[in-house]
Amino acid sequence: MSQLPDPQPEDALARLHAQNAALSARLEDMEHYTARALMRATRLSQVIAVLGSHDDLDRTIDRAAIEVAELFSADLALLVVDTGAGPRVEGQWGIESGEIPEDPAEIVALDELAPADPVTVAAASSVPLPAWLAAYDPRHVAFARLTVGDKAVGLMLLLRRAEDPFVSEEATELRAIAHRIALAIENGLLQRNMRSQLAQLHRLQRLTAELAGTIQLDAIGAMLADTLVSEAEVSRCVVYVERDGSVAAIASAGTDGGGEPELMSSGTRWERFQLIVAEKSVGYVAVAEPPAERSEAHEMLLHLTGLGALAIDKALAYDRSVEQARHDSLTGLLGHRVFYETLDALVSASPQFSIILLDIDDFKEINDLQGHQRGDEVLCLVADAMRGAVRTGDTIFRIGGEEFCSILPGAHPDEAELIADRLRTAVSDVSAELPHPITISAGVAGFREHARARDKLIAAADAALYQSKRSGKNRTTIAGGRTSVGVPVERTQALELLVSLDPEMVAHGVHTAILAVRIARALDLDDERIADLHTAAKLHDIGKIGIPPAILHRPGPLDDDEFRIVKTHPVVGAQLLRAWGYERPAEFVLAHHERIDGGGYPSQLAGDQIALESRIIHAAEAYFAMTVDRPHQRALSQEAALAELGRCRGTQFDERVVDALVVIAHDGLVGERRAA
Amino acid sequence: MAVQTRDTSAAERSDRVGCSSAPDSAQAGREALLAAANGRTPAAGDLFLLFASADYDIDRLYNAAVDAAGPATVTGCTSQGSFTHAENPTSGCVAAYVAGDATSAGVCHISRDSDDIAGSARRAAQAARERAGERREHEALVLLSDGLTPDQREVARGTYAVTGAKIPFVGGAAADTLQWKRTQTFGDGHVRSDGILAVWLTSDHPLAVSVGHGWRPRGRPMLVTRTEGTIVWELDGRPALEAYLAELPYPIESKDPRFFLDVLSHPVGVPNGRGRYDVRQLHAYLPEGGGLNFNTGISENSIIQVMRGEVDSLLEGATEAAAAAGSQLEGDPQLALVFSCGSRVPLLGERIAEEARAISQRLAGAPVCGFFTYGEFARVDGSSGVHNASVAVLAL
Repeated sequence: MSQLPDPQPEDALARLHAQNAALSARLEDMEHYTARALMRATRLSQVIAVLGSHDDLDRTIDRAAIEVAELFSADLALLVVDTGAGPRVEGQWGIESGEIPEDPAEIVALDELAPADPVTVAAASSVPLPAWLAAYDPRHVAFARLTVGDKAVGLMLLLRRAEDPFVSEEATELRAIAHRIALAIENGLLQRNMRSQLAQLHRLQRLTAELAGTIQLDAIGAMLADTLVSEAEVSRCVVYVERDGSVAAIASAGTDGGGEPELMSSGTRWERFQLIVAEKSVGYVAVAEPPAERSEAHEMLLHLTGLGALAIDKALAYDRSVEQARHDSLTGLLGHRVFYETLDALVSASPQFSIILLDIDDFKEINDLQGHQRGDEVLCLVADAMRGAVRTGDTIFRIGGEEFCSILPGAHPDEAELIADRLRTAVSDVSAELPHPITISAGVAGFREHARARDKLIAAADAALYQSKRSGKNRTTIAGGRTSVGVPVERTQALELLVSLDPEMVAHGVHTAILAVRIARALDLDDERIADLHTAAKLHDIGKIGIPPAILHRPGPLDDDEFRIVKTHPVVGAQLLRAWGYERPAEFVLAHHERIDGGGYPSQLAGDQIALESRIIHAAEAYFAMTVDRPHQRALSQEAALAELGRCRGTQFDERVVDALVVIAHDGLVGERRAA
Repeated sequence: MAVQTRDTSAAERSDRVGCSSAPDSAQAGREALLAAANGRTPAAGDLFLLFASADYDIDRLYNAAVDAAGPATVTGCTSQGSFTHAENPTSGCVAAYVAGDATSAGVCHISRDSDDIAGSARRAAQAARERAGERREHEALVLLSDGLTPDQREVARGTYAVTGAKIPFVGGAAADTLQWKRTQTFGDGHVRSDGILAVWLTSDHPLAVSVGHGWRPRGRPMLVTRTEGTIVWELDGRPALEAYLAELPYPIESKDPRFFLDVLSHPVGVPNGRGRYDVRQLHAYLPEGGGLNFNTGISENSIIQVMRGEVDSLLEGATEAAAAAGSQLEGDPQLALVFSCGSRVPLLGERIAEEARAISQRLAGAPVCGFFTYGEFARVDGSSGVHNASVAVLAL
């Protein structure tokens, strides 16, 4: 039997080495396989753990991209998500900074490039990747659609640069991971929207509280405009408010200025939204490119304009109340609070100024005898008269029942005295035609001249006013000194009360006085004479109260005895006026029936023996007697009466007086004809 | 485009690295730098990388190196130990020289924001890129960070946000002498103990980055059931320390004097999608709660396994890294920068010097300069870019 040759030890060793190497290689392969398997076993749970570890959506997406890339050994990862503004790269890994395209269309194209299948793995060469991705020289690509139910949330894209294709098991994993990521994104978007809405609610709540606590119109307008821009997706807006019949812009946002007309011409679409409260418009808001109707932003806009309207209405009401509080409701003058505030400010600033304290004379009698309504009318009359008589820059205040004050910036006391007299004259003029003319007394004090503190200044003016009262009323007194003469005006209220027993006599007297005063002014009589004339003219027939009514009111002509009785009335009237201290008016009343030619009564005075005032009263009375219907005589027309006066010019009536009366009549300044 | 090759003699290539064991800090820095320059007058655009023992006065060392470098740029960091292909000084300083004729460098060195580590790294990388000037065909980023950075993974992520998938980055975490007290980086006019230093290289010649380790899985796969940042609290529902120790081949008590060394010998590996393992080194444990602190984040629900390695496998891992780098080049590299994990030092023991030599040999005798780190950065493709117990290589 033959023997096999013994194997060489070297060959055995070599075989052993080879076997060992093969085993090592297999072991290594198994280790690699095991490593992959271990990785795959936990990849999904690792991603889920990462997705659940962040509250912020952006952070979640960012981390998801990194984790998936690392877990799948991808060199690049992209998460394209549509959060409502179109597909955008919200997470990425491996793209060099600045290389993601800014053009949204490129991202949209990437989204459209991906297959519709949930997951697709392929060689990169088989996919027309955009240049900015192809530049990374990828070898293998995996697309995974991010969907929640039927809703597409986005796209996940993984790329590998090494020659290491995505296998089918990885595709299966990616599908599950993509679903989880999509859920996380969807939840994150919901949370983000909720937070955004909650934050918006908080902002609105804050705005509402701020608007409720604000009464400054400009501030309200600014808040409204800013909030419209920030919350209602409005690019620009202007807020307008209606006030006192006019509309004005009070705030704007998103603009560089310019009013609505300029903005309207820019080509941008503008729309107005009225600010309505209880069916009343308080203004409107003009907005540029308003949001679409029925959109959330449009609803927000309507809500904000409603809020703004309420706040604006409240602010306007407040402004009105402030204004009303500042003014006296009866006369419309500024009230005592503003008076003190103004005075305080002036005293603090310490410029030159004076004050005039004014008080209506015998106002209590007016209220008591004529009623409070009449008293209110007098107050308004006085206020209006003085308002029209002050200088520009001067201010009139009502500081008491019948007390007023004027502050005169820059005026010294002497100038203030003149203004005070002007105010009193204005009051006198407007009340001259009243049955009971109104006078006011005034006290003047100058800042620095008489006091350097508010209360002392007022006290000085008040003391001066008191002096005016004590000196006979209807006059002006400067603090510490001089008292002016009263404005000529009838101050015979007591007598007028007697006269008021015969209303016709009162009316005749008033009209005669008015015409007499006008004639006197035309003849350049001074104020003092006019004052006495006015008294005499108003009361020239007061002596008739001694005539029996049967004679006084006889419808037919008087006989001689009756006429003799009537001719006593000038004497009786003069006596009455003298008894009341009105010496000069008494003289005028005594002679008011004397004639130029001496054929009058009671004293047959003639020519210049007769006081001019008496001649004026005579003519004025005759004019009214002719132009009034009487039981025994119909009224003449104005022309006829004037003609009669002219016929008797130089005989019965003074020529100058007649001439002046004719001029006045032709100027329409004589009162209307009145029926008896 | 035709790849440019460089006909450079081995002698010329070998003189781009230098070493100094001088006890004086300034002298060490100056000597190492000048040795790397080897008679050349440093010019503007040249780059020197220094890796120095943490025992030195780094301010003096750096300032002296800057003086010696003239207009050239000087950067670097402290190390657990540094080496060249020829020398492994126990405590010294090594330097590498990168000529500025074909390669430009931009440097940015900032203090990290501990609340935004990734953002800090991103800013450093961005600035370094901008400072590198006109971009050339080949680019890479060298990254050095403070070894005590709370989470090196964030450094890598922030860097990647700038480099992207096309541009590799490589580097290491600065170290000290296993004291874990202070590490330093220097460059861009600053010496920092909380720094992130980025060096953006842009070159006419290819720049190759690779990584390898040589560790193999040993223990059972364990599921990370609870983590908090870089701390793993539970493995398979058990206290992490307990679970980890149970996987070691022999019983070890945490109070054992050898515990630390044994831990270095048994890092953990996290499997990745390529069928490989990313290695993570345990840096500390928390007695209360039994947590394990890695200086890199480990995701919850991931798998880890205790790894094993021997000297030969570790050296093989380094060699593979060199081979992977070399395969990316068309010609012989001029220089290799190596970032080797400090945890490999006790394992390699007396054969520690073989690692750098093996790398050099695998790269056709290219000069090697590097340091032992508290962590490595290397990203070419696929991985997260953070490694422990590994060797990262930049061949240029």
